[in-house]
Amino acid sequence: MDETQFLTCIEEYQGIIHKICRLYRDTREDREDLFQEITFQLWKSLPAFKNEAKISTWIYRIALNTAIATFRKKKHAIEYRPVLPDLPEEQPSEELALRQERLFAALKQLDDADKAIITLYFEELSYQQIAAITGISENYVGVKLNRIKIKIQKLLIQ
Amino acid sequence: MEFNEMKSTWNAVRTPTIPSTEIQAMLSENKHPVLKGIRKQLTIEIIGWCIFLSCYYTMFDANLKPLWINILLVLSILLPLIHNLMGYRLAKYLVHGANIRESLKNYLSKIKIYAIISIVSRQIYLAGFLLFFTYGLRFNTSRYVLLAVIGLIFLVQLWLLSRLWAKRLKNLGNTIAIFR
Repeated sequence: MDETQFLTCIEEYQGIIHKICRLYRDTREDREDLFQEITFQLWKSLPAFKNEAKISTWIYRIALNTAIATFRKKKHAIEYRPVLPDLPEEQPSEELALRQERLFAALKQLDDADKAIITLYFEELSYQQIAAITGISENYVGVKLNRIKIKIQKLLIQ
Repeated sequence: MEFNEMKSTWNAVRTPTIPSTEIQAMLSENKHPVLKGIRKQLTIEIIGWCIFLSCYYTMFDANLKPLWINILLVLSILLPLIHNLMGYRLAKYLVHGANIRESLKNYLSKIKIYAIISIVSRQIYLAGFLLFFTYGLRFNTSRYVLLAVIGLIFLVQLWLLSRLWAKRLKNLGNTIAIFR
């Protein structure tokens, strides 16, 4: 894959990266830095990318790996705003925006590893794919997902 | 909120669109926020230490001190520079395996070594300087007090740095443990 193909690919899948940035970082500045870091790490890891894997699977793996491995800067307070500053001009309905905010507020309280597993699940990846990306067994993916679902339900009730 | 609702809420998240020209700029090492910072720090440090090393011999009577003290001073300056170079490489390559668990495990091993070098190099740096500037000095009570204060500052710094690394390593270790 050359640079032009790589850029087209990132343009196409940048939504995935943005969601991961939103989940793992609290401020706009941190999210922008993480987006850049993920893009850079994807570029650096490109020579090791084997075409037998799906490109989206590879992007998930590198993006989540980078989000977990990079140390966060000084902690900022989470800003709760009805309209998030880094969202596109076209905003979701107020009800949907509120639901998204509630969901992200709950997800952000999970451990980094749990965040990765639930992200992959939300993105419709199979247990087999989640296991391959994370390095845990398929059975354990099921166990973990059940535990995470319970955790999220509890967090949403709080 | 039901689980399917959560999934649909997640999938309905609208994300910004960054043009490919901006993405292309992100591929450059020169634009990388962390690497840029390390490079800037390294450049300033290297220039500063080159100036210091070129004039310390005559300015601070280094010719009157034993050779081993001089070597220790040079080493104590070089070690943090080597440490920074290691940090640059570590920040440049974050992916070290075929899956997240394997990659994080390998990364943790590298970070542990880096953390040890970070703490040791800081102490050698401070000790080298202290030894160089106090060698041959006649000590009286006030100088002993000053030495004790400096020693205490060293220890506090060592404690803070160790605590910072311990926290980082623990967080990463906990994440890997969840992936088991």
